[in-house]
Amino acid sequence: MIGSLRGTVATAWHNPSGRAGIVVLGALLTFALVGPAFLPDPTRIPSLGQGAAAPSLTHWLGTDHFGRDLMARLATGARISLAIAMIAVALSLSIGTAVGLVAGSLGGGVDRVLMRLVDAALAVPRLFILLLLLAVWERIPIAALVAVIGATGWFGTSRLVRGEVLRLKNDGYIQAARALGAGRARTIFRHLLPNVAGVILVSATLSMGDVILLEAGLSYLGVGVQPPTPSWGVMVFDARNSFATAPWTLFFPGALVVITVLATSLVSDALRAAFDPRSA
Amino acid sequence: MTSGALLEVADLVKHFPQGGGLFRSPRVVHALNGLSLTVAPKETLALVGESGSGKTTAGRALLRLLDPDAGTVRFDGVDVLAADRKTLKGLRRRMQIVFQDPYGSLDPRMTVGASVAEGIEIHRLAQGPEIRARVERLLGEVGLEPAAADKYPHQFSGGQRQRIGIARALAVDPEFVVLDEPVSALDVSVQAQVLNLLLDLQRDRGLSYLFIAHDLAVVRQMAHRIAVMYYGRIVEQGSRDDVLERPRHPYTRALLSAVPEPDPETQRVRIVLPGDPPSPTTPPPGCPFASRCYHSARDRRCDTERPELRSVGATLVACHHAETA
Amino acid sequence: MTPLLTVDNLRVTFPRATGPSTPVDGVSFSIDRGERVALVGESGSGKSLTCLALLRLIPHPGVIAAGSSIRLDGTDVMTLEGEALRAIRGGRIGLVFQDPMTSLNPVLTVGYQVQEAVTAHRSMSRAEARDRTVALLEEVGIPDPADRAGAYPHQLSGGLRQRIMIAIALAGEPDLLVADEPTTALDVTIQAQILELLDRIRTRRNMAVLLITHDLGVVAGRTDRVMVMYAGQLIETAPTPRLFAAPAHPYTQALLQSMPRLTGPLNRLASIGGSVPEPTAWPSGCRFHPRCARRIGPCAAEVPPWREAGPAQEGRCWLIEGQAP
Repeated sequence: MIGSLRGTVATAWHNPSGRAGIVVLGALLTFALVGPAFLPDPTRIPSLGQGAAAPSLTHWLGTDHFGRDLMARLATGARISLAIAMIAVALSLSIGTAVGLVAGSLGGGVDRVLMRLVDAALAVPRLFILLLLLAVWERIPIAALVAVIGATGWFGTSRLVRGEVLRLKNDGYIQAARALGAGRARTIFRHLLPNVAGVILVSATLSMGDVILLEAGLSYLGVGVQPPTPSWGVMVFDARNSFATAPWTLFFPGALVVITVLATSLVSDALRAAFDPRSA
Repeated sequence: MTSGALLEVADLVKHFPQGGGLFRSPRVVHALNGLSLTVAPKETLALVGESGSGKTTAGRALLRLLDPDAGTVRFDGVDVLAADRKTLKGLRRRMQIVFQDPYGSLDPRMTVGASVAEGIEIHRLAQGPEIRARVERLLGEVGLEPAAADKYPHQFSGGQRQRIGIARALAVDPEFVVLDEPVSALDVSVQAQVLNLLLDLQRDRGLSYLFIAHDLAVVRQMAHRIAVMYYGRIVEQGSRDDVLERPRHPYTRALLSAVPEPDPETQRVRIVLPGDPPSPTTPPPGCPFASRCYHSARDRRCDTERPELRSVGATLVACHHAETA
Repeated sequence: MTPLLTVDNLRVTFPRATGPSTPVDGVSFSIDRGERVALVGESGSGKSLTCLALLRLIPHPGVIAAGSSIRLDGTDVMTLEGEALRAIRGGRIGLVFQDPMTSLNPVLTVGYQVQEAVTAHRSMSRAEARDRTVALLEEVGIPDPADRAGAYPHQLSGGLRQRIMIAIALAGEPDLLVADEPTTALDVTIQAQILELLDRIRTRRNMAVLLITHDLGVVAGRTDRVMVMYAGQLIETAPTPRLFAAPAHPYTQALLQSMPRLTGPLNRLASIGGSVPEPTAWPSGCRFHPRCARRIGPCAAEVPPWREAGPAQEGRCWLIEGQAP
């Protein structure tokens, strides 16, 4: 399955909506990586009290109420938002998948203890845990923010993966592998993991949107990304006072959040289909 | 117990807790209630029963795919249930299983070649290109083209998938194979192909089979000896001809009479049993078949005392009234 | 006397990316009042879709092709809409499915579900509906019917659930009962009960029964006439005893020879090579020709005509010498 990763992506590319998603995500990443080099400093305030300017030839997407170039802030914000989202999601998926696989395949007491802990964690609102943790830091480093978001986002994934493992565990091919003398590791990596990949991808899509919005919320509360560093979330909430008079300050970052979530979901749907040889 | 048996199973018990929760104690499903059987080298023992009789649990328990609560399983003298990890791995090379469901029993995300190669890799029976050669030889042995190795399971029909499952089991050169309803999910026209293949493989490789089935007509085609299960135990056991032609247990007789025969000429007496088998969570104190029994000599003893398997005529029968016809 | 049901040139098509497939391709037959007819075929033969088509219940995106005709007692079923169509479904034609577990709603009591069927086609008082429900449950052999009406499907055994399904099918007082593999999911001893029950009900109500099955054994001695289906077409029809005594089509012959039996000489089973074709790629000429051991000149290229093979026996094969019926 690992060897056919290129083949999987190629199959996803052949799916029209998958291709659209890949193109959009590619464009966003390019914008994030290359954009800032060609755009003005996103944090520099030209002169105070200038107010927000509508899109024009000098500022294609206009400026915010500090007169900062919106496109430059979006590009740098993309770096930060996408990086936070991708790393945090990767982290929470890895933890969630590992816990789900262990709980589901070992079963018994291990499963009961792990799932009770997850249930307890799920019963506490994530924002509350985050606020509690973040309150400890005065100015939180972005790396710590990512770690904290990632470490609090895996509970649902672990439940999903465990459920899937329990369903698959009694399937003939898992039993056959055991009967052939396959060890636990082989059963997990050769059979269970590829067959829960679809569930993991769905979970990834859902968390991607969640995390982008969560980061925005935290930034708004002043415990996330610290101004003047832009993230899409910071920008959405910066626009809260000016969007009536300067709607573009809200529209562009908001639209990018929506587009990213949609594109991620298209790509993950296509990947899920591509992972499954039956759909070829 | 027959000396020289390859597989000896004695008093196997398996109870599953079912339901239950934080404040409720689970009910217990009595799947196996003391199962004993032997399989000789190159022999087919058919384990016959209806759903809930425990026959599938028996197949899995003696391979230690699930852990029985009590009893012993010896394979070629080795205690299977007490085997440590290393011994067990060695045993798994010698004891294999073919499953009923040709759709669920192959990993949908692995090529057929990878599935068949799995046992070869686990037990390091070959290296590098020799693996592929072995896989192709095995596919040929079960009647498939070498090119099948590069396809995925969904590209095959039910019968072909069952052949793949057989090739996977044979890849480790086992001596004994549990065949868990291997043809019951297949179309009639394909069923005969697979049965013939299994017979050929047994002849060519000297295999022993535990053939788990519910269809007595299929069993007649395959078995040397037959054991009939009801409610987690054997109720009648003997040679194929003795069990099929001179059955003593009323359940075996009813089962035989219920087999739909494609021949309107054979006017048989149809025994239609009333009701269902007793609930697996509440074992009756006496004979488990008593609630459906139509035997003329049926009496109070049947409700209070469980009959032991004993020798009557040519077969072993668990019935108080096996002597009376 | 005009037949109760006449089906003429029934075709069911499904749109596919690669062009439409036709899993039912030109099926014509009729059923008389009170007649017991079996439609026999393997998986993929189109037998289940044929029976769904009778009620215009073809699953999306399939359609019944133009030119197909279904007439029930003179009424053109193909043109019915709304209320008139519902009067047929579960009214004049009752339907029993294979899997009684998934066909019953798990959160409603079985009594409620039977009563729903009772009141669906006839308005009556609550007390009357309840009496009628209990009477139906009694008719299908549910012990303590008034009591069991309050049970949920999971509290009943598979056999009892299938009895509930039959009660629901009978609620509309049908002229024709269509039973699609009614015993396939059940154990043989339970299968015997259900088949006997269907026999009894048919005799009492004098309704026609169309039994759809893959098992020729179930058909023998329980039906008046058998229709054999292969690859979307009828290939033979004959009075039941005649079909078993002198099957005309090589497929029917091979099917009978490949069935393991409980009695008679024990030989290696004759098997049919290859597998059942897919509806997306029906073979040219006679659809059975790639698997046929008696293939002759025209079989691969030319579609054999429907011809008379014996008394009330007709078939579609170049080897049949008779006249067009």
